[in-house]
Amino acid sequence: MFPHKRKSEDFTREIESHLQLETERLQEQGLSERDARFAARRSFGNVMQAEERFYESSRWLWWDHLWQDVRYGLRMLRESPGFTAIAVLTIALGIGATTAIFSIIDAALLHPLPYPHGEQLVGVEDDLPGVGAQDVGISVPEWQDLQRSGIFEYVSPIGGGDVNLTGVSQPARIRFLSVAPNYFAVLGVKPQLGRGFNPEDHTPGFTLEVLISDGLWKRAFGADPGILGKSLRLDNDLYRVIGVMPAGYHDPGRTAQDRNIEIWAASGFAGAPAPPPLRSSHFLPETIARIKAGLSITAAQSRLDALVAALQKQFPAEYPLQSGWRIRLVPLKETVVGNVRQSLLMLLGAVGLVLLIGCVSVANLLLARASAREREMAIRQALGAARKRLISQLLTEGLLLSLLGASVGLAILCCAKAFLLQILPESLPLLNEVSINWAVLLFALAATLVTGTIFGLAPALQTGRLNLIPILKRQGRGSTGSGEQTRMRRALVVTEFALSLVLMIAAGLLLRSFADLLNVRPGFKPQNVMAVRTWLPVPNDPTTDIYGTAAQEALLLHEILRRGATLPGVKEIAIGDVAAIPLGHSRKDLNPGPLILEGHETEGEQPPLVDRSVVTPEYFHLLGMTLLRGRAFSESDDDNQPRCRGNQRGLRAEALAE
Amino acid sequence: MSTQDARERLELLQGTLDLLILRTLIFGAQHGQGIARAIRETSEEELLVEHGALYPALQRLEERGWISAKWGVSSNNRKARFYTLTAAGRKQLVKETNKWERLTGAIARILGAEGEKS
Repeated sequence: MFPHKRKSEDFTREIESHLQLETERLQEQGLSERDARFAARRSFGNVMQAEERFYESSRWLWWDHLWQDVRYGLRMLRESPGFTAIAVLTIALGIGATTAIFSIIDAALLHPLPYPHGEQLVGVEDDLPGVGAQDVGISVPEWQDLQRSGIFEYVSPIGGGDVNLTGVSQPARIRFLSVAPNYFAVLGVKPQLGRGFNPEDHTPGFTLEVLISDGLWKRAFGADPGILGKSLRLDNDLYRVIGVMPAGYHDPGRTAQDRNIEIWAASGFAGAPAPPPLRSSHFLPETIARIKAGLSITAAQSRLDALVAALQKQFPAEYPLQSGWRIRLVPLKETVVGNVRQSLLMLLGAVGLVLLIGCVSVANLLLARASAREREMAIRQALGAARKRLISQLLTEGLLLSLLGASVGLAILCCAKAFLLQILPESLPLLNEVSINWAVLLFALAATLVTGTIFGLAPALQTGRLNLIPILKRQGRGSTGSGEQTRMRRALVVTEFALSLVLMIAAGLLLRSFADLLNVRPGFKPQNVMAVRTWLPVPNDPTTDIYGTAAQEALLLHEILRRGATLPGVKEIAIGDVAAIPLGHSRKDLNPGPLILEGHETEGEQPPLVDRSVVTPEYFHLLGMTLLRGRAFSESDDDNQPRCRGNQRGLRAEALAE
Repeated sequence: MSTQDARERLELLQGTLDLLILRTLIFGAQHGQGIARAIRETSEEELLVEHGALYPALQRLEERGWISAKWGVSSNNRKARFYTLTAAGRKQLVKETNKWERLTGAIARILGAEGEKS
């Protein structure tokens, strides 16, 4: 049974009824009505006290007190709008900024990857620590070994790029991903329309089926529901559309480019146009896999180590012991999020400090106000207010302020969300949508309560030490504040200053690093240089490749150079491979090769690997690279006279090391 | 009249008011003023119940579930809040009565022994 609450009016009525009955009884004994009422009152004693005792026995007393404090606090805040505005805005800034960063952390770090059982997804990386190479990519026979190992549900190599999309109303250059037929089985994602690739397909080359993104479907095909079975051309090869991926689907990738693929084609990577599937040909740049259910990543890794050891014994020629070949499993989330974790946490720390500085400022303001209210507090204490009640009232005021500030901050955040998301760097791996969800709200609430307590406590502690008599004796309402208070406020100012200094130093260091970065001499002049990256189409049938031989390709390149140079505004033009764009390539674009110097005995050891690139003669002049010694290439260096230029310092160091 | 009485009447011992209320209600439902009158009359005007203390005590007993209350009409046609003993209240009364008898018995024995000595 729920005990219903008796109202105090009911109690008062009962007392009235008692007085009435008692008066009548006394009247019956012969007293006049006036005397009788008087006597009844007297024998009852203190009515107010009885009512008070009834009130205090109430279980909802603290609620009444809280409500009183809240009302009183709101009145105080209304009375000094200037103070309230400043405090609320300060807190709004602190809480808003902290919550904003937290919502990004929530989306990027705290949520698992948005695929079913995302924790079973791993990236597979081949390392050759013996020759100082990491994540060199895997070869097709290794991929097949992994498939058969029983450790994984599915393993899929992936390779991204651009491709010419033709055979549609508007030809376009679009993001393309070649995957194994089991790629979507690895991720556990299904298309919104049609079907995915058959994971058990073992076609050596491309299966000539493609899946397209929701965006491409709407843009290029007007969201045609009859798209399935239609054909389109990728680099002149005919493919059939078998499905459309759902809107909002993203591939797991570190950059926005890698996440927003528009067309997927499946391949066995063992037939044309892929190179022959040799064990030593590590041309599959990236591989993802789904570990079998019930197997942890550590357990999978140890089984994988055993497999690697067995393969090393079986193929000693391909896996020389000194290269130290091993395969590493990395949680896919880590490969996607990568080094963003640290920067985000640092950012959270920074805005946390801003919030703390705001807190201290507001505490200081509250303290200044507390000294103005010293007299009020003293009078209330003198009238018998319990210290506990005064402290709880000041705390309530602090919490009220912080709640108001947090509401304002969150409101601003919600309004400015779209704008804020726009200024986020594209490289941020946000597979999950950034949203103000329950976790974020809970975080904001916790931050609010903590801040409110922090700055509500400062004046509350002060009232504990009030010395009533001198304050009450003092004439007038203003006061200068006690020495104690001055000390506390000084301490707060020092804290504020110290916190600001930490932030200033951190920001200064960042700026300094940035300035240093601008002053770094990269060995070339990046001013006015524009890089254009493109691929020549690679048809599935090598015999149809019009750029199949070097001579055919040279014809095209010469034509590009000739026509490009005549474009208005173009001063110089040069062509190089991917590795030739300084700082513009990733590690995987490099194609290191062994360096064998004439006259140097390698004594059966592996020759050192050097990064290499192929460029046209104008390359060095265009980028303003200076030669340490010798001469640059010239047009007269052709296929008949192989020539090479090296980064001399790097090469010399290599030679000396031998 | 009540002031002059107050000087001669006995002050209630702490904790005995609850017992007296429960005992009074054994004869049936009664309102607060009736309880006060009954205690004074039954004790032959010896015990003083401060009316102001009576009502918070009634409230306390009600909250503990030993008595229940209902608004009704008194014999002289006045609205009043009537209290009734509950089953739990009956049990409590037996317990309190036992305790009281043991306490008074013990005190009486001590006082009696002192009296014999002197």
